[in-house]
Amino acid sequence: MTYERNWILSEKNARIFPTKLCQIFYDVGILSFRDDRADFKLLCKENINLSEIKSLLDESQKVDLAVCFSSFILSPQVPFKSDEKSDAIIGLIIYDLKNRQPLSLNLNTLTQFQMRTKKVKPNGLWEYVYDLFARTSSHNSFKSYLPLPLSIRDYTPLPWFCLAFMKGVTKEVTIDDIKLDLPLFLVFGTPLLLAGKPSYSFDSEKQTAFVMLGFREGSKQSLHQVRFDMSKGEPKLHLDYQIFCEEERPRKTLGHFIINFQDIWDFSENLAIGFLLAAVYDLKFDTTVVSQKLEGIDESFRNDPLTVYPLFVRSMAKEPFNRIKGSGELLEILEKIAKGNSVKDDANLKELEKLHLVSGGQLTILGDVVYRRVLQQKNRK
Amino acid sequence: MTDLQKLFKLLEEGFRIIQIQFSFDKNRSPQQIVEMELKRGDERTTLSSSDDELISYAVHLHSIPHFEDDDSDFVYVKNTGKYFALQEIIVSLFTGKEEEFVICERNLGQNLPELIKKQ
Repeated sequence: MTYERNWILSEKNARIFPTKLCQIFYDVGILSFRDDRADFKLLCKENINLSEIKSLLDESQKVDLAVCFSSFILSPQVPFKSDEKSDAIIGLIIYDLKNRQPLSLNLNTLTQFQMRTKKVKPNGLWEYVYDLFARTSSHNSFKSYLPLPLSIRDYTPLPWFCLAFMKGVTKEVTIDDIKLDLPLFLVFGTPLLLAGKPSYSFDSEKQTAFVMLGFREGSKQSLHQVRFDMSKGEPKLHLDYQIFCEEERPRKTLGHFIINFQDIWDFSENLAIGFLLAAVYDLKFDTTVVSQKLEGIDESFRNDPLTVYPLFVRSMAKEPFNRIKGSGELLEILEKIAKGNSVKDDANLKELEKLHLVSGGQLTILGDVVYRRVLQQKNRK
Repeated sequence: MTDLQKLFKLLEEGFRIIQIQFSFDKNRSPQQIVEMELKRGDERTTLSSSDDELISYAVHLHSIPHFEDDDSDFVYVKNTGKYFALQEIIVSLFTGKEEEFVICERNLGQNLPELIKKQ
């Protein structure tokens, strides 16, 4: 893995002048082999036209191997609005152009990176890309990991993205005569950070999320959006691919592609576990998506109850959740402990310990789950 | 046919376990007995056994939490070993012990490092 490693290292100090944003998010590295000769070329996402993507796909059929390396940054509109809650996401996708399939996709939110690395290094976002690259490939295999930890606000849609950009969809996403696919969207889409547009958002109340990136179609600039939605037209969690072009009406090239839980399980059991575990911390995902809007979950349970076992974790929180919800005193103490304050209220502290929510003066994992669920319910009122 | 095979046959025929009871009888050997009550519509049947295999399976079933799916007290997990492995994974994800949880691993059709070495 020399060529792509050298490329990533060479991007360490490259910035988009006059900003400090890393150039690497705007580049795509393509490694190809033909008759034992290697070629590594670097393309700028901003300059690639959709028809050129088609040419690259056609050319890849003539070589022995063609692999793309593309890092991406997805973020709410910058500067952040005062009520913006979504985090930014950094990721790396490796795509086999010849066989038209992603080899790996790894992504994390900035909060997850900070929780993982503890200390942010001087090269900031580039360090995160390098971290993802180092974790992705070993020997001849490419690994994709569940974006951890789970206990953050923006965790819920991350497994949705893993599904969409690793598995793709069975329906074709055809733009003019170009057969794009969801992973390719991520490989070649231009970041929107400097264009003052949002490229990612997660609305936890509505349980909708999107990823949006820029493309060039002929002389026109367009914005392509992959959106996870639940609407009147299709109440189940589904995926839309919509294109926004100036002075034109938005057009959907893929509409209402329903997410089926059984398909997730069949694709990757570990991803399905991660998908459902979002229900532990995210009350709205639990009570809206899982219980009403997720296609195939009942059938999956009936065929093999193990497929929904991760939901058992949130049911463990049910009893202490009801207890805390009904007691202002206990919630107050739990809140104090969550905020790191010391508590002298012996009777209530003992009660919380008895409920396995507190141990050694700190929240247990169950305590953290219950506290967050209670807070979400409180904020909703 | 072993008692465990008999149980699997009943489950395949559409019976659901609605009750599992363990008991001991000091006057017989082996002493432990498991009694399972099964139901299919209005039809009921019982299976009583001291067979080690069936007792072990029943112990596993008994420890698996119930999902409110039907009237039965148990979920039917064919591979109980997998159930416990899953439980372990979930615990390690929550405790942060599992930091690298692979959701997909793919290989290139050709050996990339070897191709590079040829250069």
